[in-house]
Amino acid sequence: MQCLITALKAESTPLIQQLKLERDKKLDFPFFVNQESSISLIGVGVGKKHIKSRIMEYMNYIDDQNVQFINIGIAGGKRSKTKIGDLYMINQICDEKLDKKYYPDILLNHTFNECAITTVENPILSGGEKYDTLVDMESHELFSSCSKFVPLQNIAILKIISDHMNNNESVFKENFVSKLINDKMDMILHFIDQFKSIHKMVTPLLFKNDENWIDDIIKKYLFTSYQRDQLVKYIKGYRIRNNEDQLPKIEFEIPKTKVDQKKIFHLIRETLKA
Amino acid sequence: MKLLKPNFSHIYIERGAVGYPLSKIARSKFMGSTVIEIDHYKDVFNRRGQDFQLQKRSMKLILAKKTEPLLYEGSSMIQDYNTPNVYYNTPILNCLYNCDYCFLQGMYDSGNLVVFVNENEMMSAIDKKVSNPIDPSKPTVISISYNTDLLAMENILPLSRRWINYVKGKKDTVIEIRTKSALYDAISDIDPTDNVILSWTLSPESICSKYEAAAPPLKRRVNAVKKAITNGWKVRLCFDPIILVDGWFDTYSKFFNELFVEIDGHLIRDVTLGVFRMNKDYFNKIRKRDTRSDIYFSEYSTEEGSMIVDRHQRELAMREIKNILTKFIPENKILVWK
Repeated sequence: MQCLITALKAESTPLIQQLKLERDKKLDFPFFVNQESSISLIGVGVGKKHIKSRIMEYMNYIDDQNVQFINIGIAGGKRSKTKIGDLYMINQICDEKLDKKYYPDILLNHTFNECAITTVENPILSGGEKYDTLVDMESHELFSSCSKFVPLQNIAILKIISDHMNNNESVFKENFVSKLINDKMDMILHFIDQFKSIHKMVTPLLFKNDENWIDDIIKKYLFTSYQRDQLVKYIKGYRIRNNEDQLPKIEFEIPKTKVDQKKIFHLIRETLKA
Repeated sequence: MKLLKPNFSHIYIERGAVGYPLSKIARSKFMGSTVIEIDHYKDVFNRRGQDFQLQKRSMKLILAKKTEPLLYEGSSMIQDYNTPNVYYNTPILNCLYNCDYCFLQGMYDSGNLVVFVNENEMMSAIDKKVSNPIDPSKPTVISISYNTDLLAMENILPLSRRWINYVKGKKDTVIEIRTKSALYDAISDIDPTDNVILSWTLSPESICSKYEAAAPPLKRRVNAVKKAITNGWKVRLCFDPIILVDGWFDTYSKFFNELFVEIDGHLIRDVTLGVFRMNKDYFNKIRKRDTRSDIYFSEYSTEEGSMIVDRHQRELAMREIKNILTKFIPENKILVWK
């Protein structure tokens, strides 16, 4: 599942429309999903306040450790370095109040310009002279929260310049922000699609059927957790040697004693090693 | 367009490493790369949640300054070089290659490369150690390519060249540059010197293609060895690890018979032999990461915190291999690991 994260409704609306996402009220905050394309979107609001809890709730609900998070939103940029509407891939994330910096793992061959970003507590309206990076109010907390759940390669942050850290009233107009997103929609959609491929490059060694096979065997023969770990190791070895073959059928009698159980474990091991 | 960024699309550089000559060379080699200044290399290299194997497909370069320790005591995983004064250092962390049996995948969380640019400080640390050896009657041997393949990087950063120039004329210091690279041409203009051991790890082609897929094929390595010998270098050959695949005896017999038609064994400095072995924690970490290599699903013994081929089997294998090798190389030149 891919999960787009936005702060403003004006950022999410064009994405929801374009990706045909539907509101799912199972979560108590803006949560939209298109099951068919396996894309969802959560709104976290402006600032850091709700980010951690909403990502946690989302992860609990979705029950999938292989989520890809993509933050799409607006940011302020230096007038001398950026233009309104420019799209950036973020490669370094600072926080004005914290020493900790994050570095997204940029593996995908994207075509965006890259830039660092600083997350601040309050909107910067005075030109932002002291900031040599883009500025927003969420990225640091977002990266911090998402990276607790998924590997680094599954997190990306895209920012569109909405202002030059001045008192630009258009930033507060929904249509203006939505237009910024819409203007870059093709590039965003292409990225989302490409980003999926990274996910496909990391496949677990064991298939879902293998996991079920292990669960059944453990249940049937009452193996210990140590024996389970051992079994997983042998099955991985089997999988490497036998590629996509079905795991062998195991039909021993249910053990009556611990000694019998150990014998059966040994026999299964030998079967898998053969 | 390729799906992943090319290697070194990004260069992360510690602020304190910016002005060093090696940093300048690296940046000039990759002018189109995105350069990101960082506080400390570990902020990138030691991040949580990295995927070593995925990163190997799009490696980034990290330029940093090495701090103490600049020199480490020799590992118990290497052969006895007949001197207690054995050390290694780490001019680079990680390797351009990604051999299945390599401990680096278990040692590091990152597939990216760290180059330490303050080579002069590393060299001074060696000078200091050499001036106070454990056994003054023996030379001090430093493996400078233990956590990397230094020569493989030579077209990017001329590190081997700089280390050879450093050690030239220092009679009590010997450096070993161990490699699988075919890039000998990059240093072939340097006059050979006795206190540099150029060591090539060689394996039968079937082992190379299965377990050393990113390294040059056997033939190119052998050509590099031949050129180095012709130029007067005393080359070490490393048959390490010997992988005990099905039919290993025939595989290695054929390999040695063919190899020593090409290379005159008497011109070799020495050879090292050893079976697959690895620190248990690294081994388990690699297996946990869903490696696709069957090496990690064979049977091993645990000895002193290492996963290793069972003693009986390895002693037999080493004996047999040594027997074959003595046809080509004097026995006293064959260094066997345990």
